[in-house]
Amino acid sequence: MAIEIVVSQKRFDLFFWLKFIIGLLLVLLLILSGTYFYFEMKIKELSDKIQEKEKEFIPLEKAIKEEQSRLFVLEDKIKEFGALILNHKNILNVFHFLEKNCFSDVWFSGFEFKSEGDKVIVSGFSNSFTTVEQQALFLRQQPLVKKLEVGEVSIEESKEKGKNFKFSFTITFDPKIFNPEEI
Amino acid sequence: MANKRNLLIIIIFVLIGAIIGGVYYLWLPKYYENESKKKQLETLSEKIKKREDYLKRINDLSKNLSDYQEEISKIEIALPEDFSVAALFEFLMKASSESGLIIQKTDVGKLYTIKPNDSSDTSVKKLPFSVLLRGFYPSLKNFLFSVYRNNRIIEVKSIKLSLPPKEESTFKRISNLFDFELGLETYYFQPKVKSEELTDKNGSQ
Repeated sequence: MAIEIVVSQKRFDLFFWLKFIIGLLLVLLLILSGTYFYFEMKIKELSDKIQEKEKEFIPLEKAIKEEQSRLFVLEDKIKEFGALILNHKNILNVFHFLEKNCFSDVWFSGFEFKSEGDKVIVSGFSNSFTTVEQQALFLRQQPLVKKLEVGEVSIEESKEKGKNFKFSFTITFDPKIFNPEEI
Repeated sequence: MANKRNLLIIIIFVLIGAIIGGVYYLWLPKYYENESKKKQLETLSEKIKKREDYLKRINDLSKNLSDYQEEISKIEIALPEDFSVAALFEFLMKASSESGLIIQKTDVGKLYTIKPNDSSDTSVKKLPFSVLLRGFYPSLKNFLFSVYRNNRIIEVKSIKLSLPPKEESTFKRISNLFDFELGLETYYFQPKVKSEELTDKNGSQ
């Protein structure tokens, strides 16, 4: 009896591997095609969402602009109003000051005030030169008076009033005098 | 057999080429487009959220301001957005007659020469005018008091007090009668257009 020896040989099956690679590549192609269409769909979805958000953004911006401009105007107005009030000069305080600090035998006939600078020029009469001098000295001693210059002093004589001394003072006040709450 | 093998190899190369070409020319652009759209949506959503928060904050600010409505109304009257010369005149006539002063002369010419669109840094426009009054000293004080108490801001820019000229008095000259030359100024508000955003205490928007 003849003995047949069969050598078990694991052959490299090229066809099988080639077919396997083709299959793999086809699966990969399929996956790529699938994801391509998924991206396509997702992009459309995202574009729609972006469009929706942009639509939402327009009225929001409009509302912000409207509210902002209203507040800006109000803010500006309050600021400007504050500045005007801060620079407000109450001239009545100067009148009250002069009434309070002037001698009974001194009377005024002229008054000049300009809001630029804090100077006031007053002119008036008195019955004696000494009174004019004392009045000037007294006013100079007041804390609200920064500087007082005596202008021309002259004698005026009339039948009705007799002899009078005419004078003028240029008074530079401390700006505090014009504050509404002062005095 | 060899032909079949070659055919399979060609198919593999064609498939590899198709995959590489497809990835490069079709898949990658779509992937990047998708990523960019995602980022765009994210940025837009974030921006909208920030703007909504900002709107909420300015609405809250508005609500807080409504608690000061009375004060705001006073400011609106003190600094109106339009100016009426007639109303100003009416006030001057009323205040002077109530104070016991006679209006000798008024100069409101400048009020008409000021252009409403006058461009300057400030939103407040000045309206200067002058008035010559005759009367007694206490009347002037009353008049000034009325001016200061007026709802609309009127600033006294200059005062010149003098005795009236002798030739103007037909009767015996009355002592204590004066001429008061007042330089006054009132204001109106012209809103400026602003583009910057309001900032809160921390300066954040």
